Amino acid sequence: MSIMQVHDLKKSFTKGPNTIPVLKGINMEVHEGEFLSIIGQSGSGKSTLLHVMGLLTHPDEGEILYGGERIDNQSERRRDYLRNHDISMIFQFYHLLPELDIVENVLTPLMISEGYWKFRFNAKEHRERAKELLDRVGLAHRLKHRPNELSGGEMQRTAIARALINSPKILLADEPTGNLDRSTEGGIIDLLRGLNEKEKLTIVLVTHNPSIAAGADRTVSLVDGVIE
Amino acid sequence: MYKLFLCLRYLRTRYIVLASIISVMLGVATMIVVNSVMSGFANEMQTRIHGIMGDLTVTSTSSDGFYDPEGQMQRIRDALGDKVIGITPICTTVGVLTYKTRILDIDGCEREAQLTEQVCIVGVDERSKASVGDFGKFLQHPENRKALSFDLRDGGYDTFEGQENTQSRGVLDKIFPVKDRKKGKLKERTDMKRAGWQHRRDYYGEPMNGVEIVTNPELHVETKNTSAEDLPTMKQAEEENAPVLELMDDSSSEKTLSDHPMDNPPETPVNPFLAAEKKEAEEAGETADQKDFDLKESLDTMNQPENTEQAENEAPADPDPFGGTGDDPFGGHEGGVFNPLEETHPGIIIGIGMAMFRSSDGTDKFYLLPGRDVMLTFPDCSIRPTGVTGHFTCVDLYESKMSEYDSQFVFVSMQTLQELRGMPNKANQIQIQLKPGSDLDEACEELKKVFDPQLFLCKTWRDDKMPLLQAVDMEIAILNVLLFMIIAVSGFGILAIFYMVVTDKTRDIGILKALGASSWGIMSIFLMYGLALGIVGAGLGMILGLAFVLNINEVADFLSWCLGHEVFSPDIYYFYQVPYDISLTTVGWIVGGALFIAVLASVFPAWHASRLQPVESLRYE
Repeated sequence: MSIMQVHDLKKSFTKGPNTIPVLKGINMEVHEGEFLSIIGQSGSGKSTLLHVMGLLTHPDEGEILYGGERIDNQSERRRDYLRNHDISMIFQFYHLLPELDIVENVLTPLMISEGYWKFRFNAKEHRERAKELLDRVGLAHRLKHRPNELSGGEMQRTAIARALINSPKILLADEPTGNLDRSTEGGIIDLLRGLNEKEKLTIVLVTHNPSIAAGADRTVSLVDGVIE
Repeated sequence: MYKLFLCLRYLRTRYIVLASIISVMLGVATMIVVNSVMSGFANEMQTRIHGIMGDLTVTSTSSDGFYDPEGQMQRIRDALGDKVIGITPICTTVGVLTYKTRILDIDGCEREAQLTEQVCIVGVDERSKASVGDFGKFLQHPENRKALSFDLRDGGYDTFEGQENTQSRGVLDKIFPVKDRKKGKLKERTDMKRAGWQHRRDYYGEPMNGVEIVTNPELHVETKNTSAEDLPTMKQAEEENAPVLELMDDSSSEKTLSDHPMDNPPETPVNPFLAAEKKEAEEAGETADQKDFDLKESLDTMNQPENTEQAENEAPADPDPFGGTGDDPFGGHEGGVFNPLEETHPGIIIGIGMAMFRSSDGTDKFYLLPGRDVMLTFPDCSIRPTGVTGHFTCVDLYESKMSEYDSQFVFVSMQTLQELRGMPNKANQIQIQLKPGSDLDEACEELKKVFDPQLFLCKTWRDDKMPLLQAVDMEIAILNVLLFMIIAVSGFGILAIFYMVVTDKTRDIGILKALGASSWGIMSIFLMYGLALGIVGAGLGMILGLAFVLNINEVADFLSWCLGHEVFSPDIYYFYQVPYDISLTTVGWIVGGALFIAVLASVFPAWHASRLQPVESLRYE
């Protein structure tokens, strides 16, 4: 059963007088509970595809269905809600907030979704949950650290914990290991793998590395803006 | 939740915003200080003007006044009903005040000089004056402040000026009332210790400290000779005196050369010149007595009223020319000889500006004290006004701290003035005090209905000083506009710094959006950031400003100490202390304005931040 469908998705960027087509009609389906990897060379448009799927940007043409609902043309409010609750993302550069410590970073999506008093009221539970998640990604000993005090792998683990805090349905990973060495990379992939298997979390992973893609249930390759 | 959380976190971790906090702080502090001091000055001034004028005045358009002040006052009471809590008639005229004083000449000799001042003479009704305004408050004798009297007091005049107790501190007076303010820089007026009968006896009796007073013939004018027809006599006297002066000068130079002051220690600690002069004067007096009758006579004239020993022995009942003689119809003495040691003329209260000057070190030097006699010349009330002269005895000094009034006004009993001017049962003005909180303009309009505008002018105290009060209000308003520009400038500082912060935080904004934050959420982070900055800046500014104002005199002292000269010189401003009036409303407006500016300045950067596309900010590292 598909959780997300992409129909005839087109996206191009305009640089001065030139229009550069990046996605040239993507048709794709993500099944619920699967670990899908999208493999493609640099510039093939795989990150753009993921950003469109993650509602960070609008497609020029085509549509994205999430659980049967068309989401690409929804109101900002609805899209914000989906980003916060249903579709989580992790990035190559982790994108943690440098002013906050690990626990606070993990709590950010909850802070966004809940008002001041509600968050305050539930603060203890939330912290417990954040610690539990950090424990699961293997960072129980680093709770009070700031992102710049962590290694790349630890930052990515934090980002994964943050992506999981609101119990999303689907996790979009944009080259999560692109900046990591091979052993750390393995750890992250194993973690994602484990999440997929134990929690039945749907994961879409974008990479240029065939060995990482090989760990996924299913692999599609993106060449020059088209799925092959 | 994240909005508040993040904005506080940013406030704590971005030190560059300190710059804008400081600029807001300084702007707010400056505005509070300037406003408090300005309104302190304005308040002081208004209180004084108000205190002098009462609430309303009904003034005769003619300087000869109107008949039947009692009747007019009854009309006012009828018109205004029970709003009137005080009412008093006033007689005013212009005139000339003449008095003698001893001045220390440049050669170190004390000489007698005649001083003449143009004055505004106010006849007040002793019984009812206290009911209107603060007239009594400004007097120097505590008893006179309680109940006005034109009799000379024995002594007990204030030796410190009373302004400390009247100076307003705005709301602080309500929160922390101070009964006995510290005297601070206040210098004691040692001269005032002797004021009253004691001074009178000293001055008109024995020469002070045994030091003899040399009268400068050129300055000395007999009071009897002040009228026009006697002028030739004056000249004659001068001519007669001229050779004496020469003679004295000659002998003085000889003596000074031969008698070294160390050889002849002076009886009193006076400077050697003074001692020498005194000696000579005695000698000259003796020789004159024996040898030259004319010379003696002229010396007598010179040394009066503070006679040398010899003069006193010879003529103990010598009529003091200044004290007025029996034939003076206005001297208050029907026949007989006026003895200044026992009697006084009618009382007069003189504006302190005419009686003293403030030296640069803040001490007050008096040349006229309660107890001395003065002379007033003013027009009478006839169709062709002619000058009338009356003798008065200074019984108190009037210190309202409005230099305009202190250097112009003399107050006498209305009855005396009416008699002298030949205007019995006439007054020039009626001053009215209304119940606190009454609408003065409305009451003024009611009076205008009752009184014929051709004969009477009805004014509120504000009307009378309208140009001055308006000018001060305008000054404060303009100053506020200009100072608010400072805060506006700090607003631009906030804008620039915020814009930088937004640029710096582009990636974070992208992250937050990717995590589901709305555009409004992002915008409110920065709006709250601006508000928080405004609160901190304005709060610190308020504390700084209030601390500055509350200690402004200490600050002025410190600045004086740093700069080496007085920044708030008492002889320029006539205040020992910088007056201030902290108005909570004003402080509220300033702080509110600063907050508003801070938020306004953060709107643009915040809007810019909210418009950022998450992808744009996340794509590149």
